[in-house]
Amino acid sequence: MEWKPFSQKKRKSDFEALAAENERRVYAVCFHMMGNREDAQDCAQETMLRAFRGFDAYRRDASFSTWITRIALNVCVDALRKRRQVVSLDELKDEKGWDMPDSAPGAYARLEQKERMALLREAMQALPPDMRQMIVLRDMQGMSYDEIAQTLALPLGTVKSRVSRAREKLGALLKKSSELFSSTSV
Amino acid sequence: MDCKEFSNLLDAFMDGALPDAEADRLRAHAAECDACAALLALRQDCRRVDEETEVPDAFLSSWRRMIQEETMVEEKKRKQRNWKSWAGIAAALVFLIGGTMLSRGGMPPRSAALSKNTASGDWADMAAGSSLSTSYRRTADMGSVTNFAYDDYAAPMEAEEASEMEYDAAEVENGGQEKKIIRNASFTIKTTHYEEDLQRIQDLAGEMGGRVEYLSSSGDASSGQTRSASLTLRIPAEALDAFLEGAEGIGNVTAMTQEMEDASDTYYDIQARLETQQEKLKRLQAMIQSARDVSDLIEIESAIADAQYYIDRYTGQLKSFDSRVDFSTVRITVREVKITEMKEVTLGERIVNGLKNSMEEGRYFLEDMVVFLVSVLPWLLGLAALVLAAALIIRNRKKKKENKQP
Repeated sequence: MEWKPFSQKKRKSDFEALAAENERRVYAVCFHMMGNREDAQDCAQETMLRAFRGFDAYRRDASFSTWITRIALNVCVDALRKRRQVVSLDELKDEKGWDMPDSAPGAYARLEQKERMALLREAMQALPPDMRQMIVLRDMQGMSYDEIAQTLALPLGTVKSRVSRAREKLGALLKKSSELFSSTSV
Repeated sequence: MDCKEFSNLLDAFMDGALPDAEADRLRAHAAECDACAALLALRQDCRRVDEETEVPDAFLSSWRRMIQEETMVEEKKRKQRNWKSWAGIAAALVFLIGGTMLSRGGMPPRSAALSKNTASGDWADMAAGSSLSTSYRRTADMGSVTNFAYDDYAAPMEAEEASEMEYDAAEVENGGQEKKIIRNASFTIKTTHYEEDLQRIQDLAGEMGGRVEYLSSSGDASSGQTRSASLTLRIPAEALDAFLEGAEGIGNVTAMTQEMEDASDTYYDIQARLETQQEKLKRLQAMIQSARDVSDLIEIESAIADAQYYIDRYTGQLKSFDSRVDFSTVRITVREVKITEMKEVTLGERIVNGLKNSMEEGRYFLEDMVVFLVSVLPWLLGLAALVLAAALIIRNRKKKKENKQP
């Protein structure tokens, strides 16, 4: 939708028009961050509410999509903190006795797609929120590094390094869990 | 292609920004390298996870419903804020207007009476119906007693009533001798035509054969002062009544007093003494012819001088009596008055006057309001500072409480 200046009287209709164009992205981000439908819907609704309440303060220097995505990420991070279900890699190692051996590469690729998707969702929930959101924005939503930098208000270099670290973590998680899955399935 | 190059090109490949040839090389490498194949699979799975994410219909409807409810809540809050704002404005106006009214000590008079100075005035002859009252006091004492005054509350003096009090100064007999009656009068005239009436009095005196013996005037009409004059007139005794009657038609005569003194006894006593001295003088003048020596002559001359002295003195006294008998002394005070009279005005004039008054009162009220505001400003600033401090303290406490919550 072409951006048009909004007036106070048309505030509701203007917001609904812009939010409708981004409702899918908002839900997807919340779903990937929270890992389940119920929490995702709650966070997505909260995102819409916060965006509507802050619509008067929304400045036109950033795109609406970038702006509402940032709100969604903030809502999810707040929810994750309250839930305290963030499991760090160290916690995983301590709790489940996982180590990260440099085991056979490619085990993940040899799994069935359905199995890979399930493992991926699980591994995502094991990532810390700050790393998780990097994977969500870059690899799942396909946002460019510039867009991510604008969304998170971070320098471009910081964004790139965080994405790289997040990928490493995710890869390590998947490698181990792929081997475990492969061994059990075998 | 090696694994490092593969890793560097993977982002561009996933964004669809890699040329076809490069993309083919990348795929070929993935087919040969298990590690890179896993990396590619992971990236593709990430995109697939997002693409396969279905947005529930419940969310699509619920967030719209929620926005609608939020709009209604905001509208309700806005109306409450408006109501509070209006209530605050009303309270401020009550404070401002009430404070101004109290500090003014009440409203000014609703209307001012019309007032005219006769020197510059152009209306209100003091005809019947004016608000001024005229009164005369009467003390009746007839006969030989000298002082009396007459009262015309009821009406101007009737002719027969006046005749009861009238004396013919020239012809009343008392034992064959002419009565010597001295009549004086005094009265005050209140007038709205000061100069005119003052002249009329003097003219009337002249018509009656009298004269102005004394005249004094005071007051400055140009500065709005009322004027007054004191006159002493000598009016022929036989014309006194006519003069007083004529004076009643000039202005408003108040507080008239007449005095009547019967000086006959004193007059004739002096006259007798005069005659005695005159006889004595004649005899003394005759005795000079028969004076025997100088000492006798001196003695006679001395006696003649004494007699002459008394003759002169008695003659002067008799002349004074004659003057006072023949000419009455009338003392008159003329006072200029300003009449306060409520003039009837038309509806149109009332409307115009009302508008003018309200505009003027509005201007005065606004001026008073400014004065009031400035005078209470220090108190208002102090109160505002206290309220602000209290609000900051409460807000800080709330923040601390929120931060402590898990």
